[in-house]
Amino acid sequence: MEALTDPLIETRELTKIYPRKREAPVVAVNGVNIRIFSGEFLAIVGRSGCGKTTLLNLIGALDRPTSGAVIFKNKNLGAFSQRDLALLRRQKVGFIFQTFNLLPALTAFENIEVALATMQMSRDERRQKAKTLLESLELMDKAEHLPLELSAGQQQKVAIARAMARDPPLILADEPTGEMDPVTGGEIASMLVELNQKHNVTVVVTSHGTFPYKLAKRVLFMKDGKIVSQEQAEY
Amino acid sequence: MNVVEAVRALPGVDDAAPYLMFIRGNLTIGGIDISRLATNTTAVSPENVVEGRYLKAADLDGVLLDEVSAGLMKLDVGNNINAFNHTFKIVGIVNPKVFSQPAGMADMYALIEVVRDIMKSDSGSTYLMGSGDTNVILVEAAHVGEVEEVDAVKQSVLEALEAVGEKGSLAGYGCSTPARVVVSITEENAWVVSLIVVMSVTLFSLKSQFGVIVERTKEIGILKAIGWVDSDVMKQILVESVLQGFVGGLVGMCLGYILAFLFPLFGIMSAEGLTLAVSPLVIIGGLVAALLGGIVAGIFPAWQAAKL
Repeated sequence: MEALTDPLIETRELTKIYPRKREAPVVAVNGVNIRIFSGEFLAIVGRSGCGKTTLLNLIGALDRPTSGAVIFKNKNLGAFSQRDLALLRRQKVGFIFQTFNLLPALTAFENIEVALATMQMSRDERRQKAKTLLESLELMDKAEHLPLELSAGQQQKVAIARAMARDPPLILADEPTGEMDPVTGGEIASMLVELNQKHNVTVVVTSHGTFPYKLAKRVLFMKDGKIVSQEQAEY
Repeated sequence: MNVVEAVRALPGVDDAAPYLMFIRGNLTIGGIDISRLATNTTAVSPENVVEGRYLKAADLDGVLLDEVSAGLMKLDVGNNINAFNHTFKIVGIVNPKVFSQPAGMADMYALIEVVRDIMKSDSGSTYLMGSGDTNVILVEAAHVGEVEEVDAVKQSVLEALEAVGEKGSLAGYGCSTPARVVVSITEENAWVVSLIVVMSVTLFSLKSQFGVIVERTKEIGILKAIGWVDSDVMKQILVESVLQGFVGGLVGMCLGYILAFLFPLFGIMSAEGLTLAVSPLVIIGGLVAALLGGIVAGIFPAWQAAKL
């Protein structure tokens, strides 16, 4: 394993507050300071509602913080326009969601293709890339199936393929095994570990307990919007 | 006072005009007095001209050719036609369609004095009334909407003819406003109606698109999460809207064309014998309107979707 010295992402007093009309505002993320290094496999663990998903969305430029900063490769994302954030997500980040979030009207093959639709690629190149990814996941026989026709595990595999389609350096997975049985969850977890170890992709996973977070090299424990402790695996 | 003047002087008669009908072989020529109202309202008028121009007082060799006859004989404005031992020059092509009964319809129309000369020089000429002015009297009644008054006029015309020793019969009468004028008003208003329909459909499509955007919020969110920028989303929604407009326009165009083709086959016509015709310009215009409608209906929803 390479020495993890340069933070790919750093958060500084990162805070996200959701205002409510007749109730007190919700502080989802409260002054979080973390560093995520290139090539790292990081798990963020905590109970439901502790702010894991919000933290992941902020790191992945899907949302803007109320205060604080997200520094991505020494660039403050707060200075980015919406378009720049979208381009960052396109080029640098792959998302995997708990509920897969595949486009229901598209086949497995097309769901991967759509991630490449905005790239400067020919149609044949796009199709070849999608085919390669599906073959690596042993899902070519399901290529023409709609998401509804796939099992939970198969859908998540397609979602992983979609996230990897543009070869991002960072994968953010929000409860990736939350909707499946432990055996299938184990397969998904193994896939993410393989991405990290063989392809040097930085992987950040959130979990409330369904993901075998011991597979991660570092675990951050989160409670009430704050990072309360950390565990580091021994190399 | 000749018979035409006698009829013109009757109460309830707005105007009376002499009209000569001469038939030889399978051709009919109508001699018209172009200065009379009754000619315009019951035989042929300048408003019936579809090509060229109406007759003028100096057109001693000029003739108006009926549109159907022109098509059959493959003649056009400017051509000469030899008929009734006379060479005429076609100055205009007309489509009267004023009558529900073709009482005054002819294949061609010339000045009445020209037709009178033709008839007089023809050894087999038809009957001419009285002083030989005419064999048909065109009558424009004053109150055409009132059946009893028109019947009274009819009766008085027949009595007037009897009084001068002529026997006549009334054949066909039409409304005072030539049907073609009514149709042209309808045709003009059809564009206004079409515009209203297009605007209504566009607004409905706009509302529908907004509804679709709301339903697709999650889908748009997923696309943005995987790297679609606002312009990508906007382009997607706009292209879908334009395609919908185009396909809708194409289907409507084909359906309209088929209906226009079927209507005459099933005898669906107006009281004046008119049926639908399809102009290529209208077809293209309809398709362009559908495309524009798709753009208009899609552009604001597309912008809204991009901002989600």
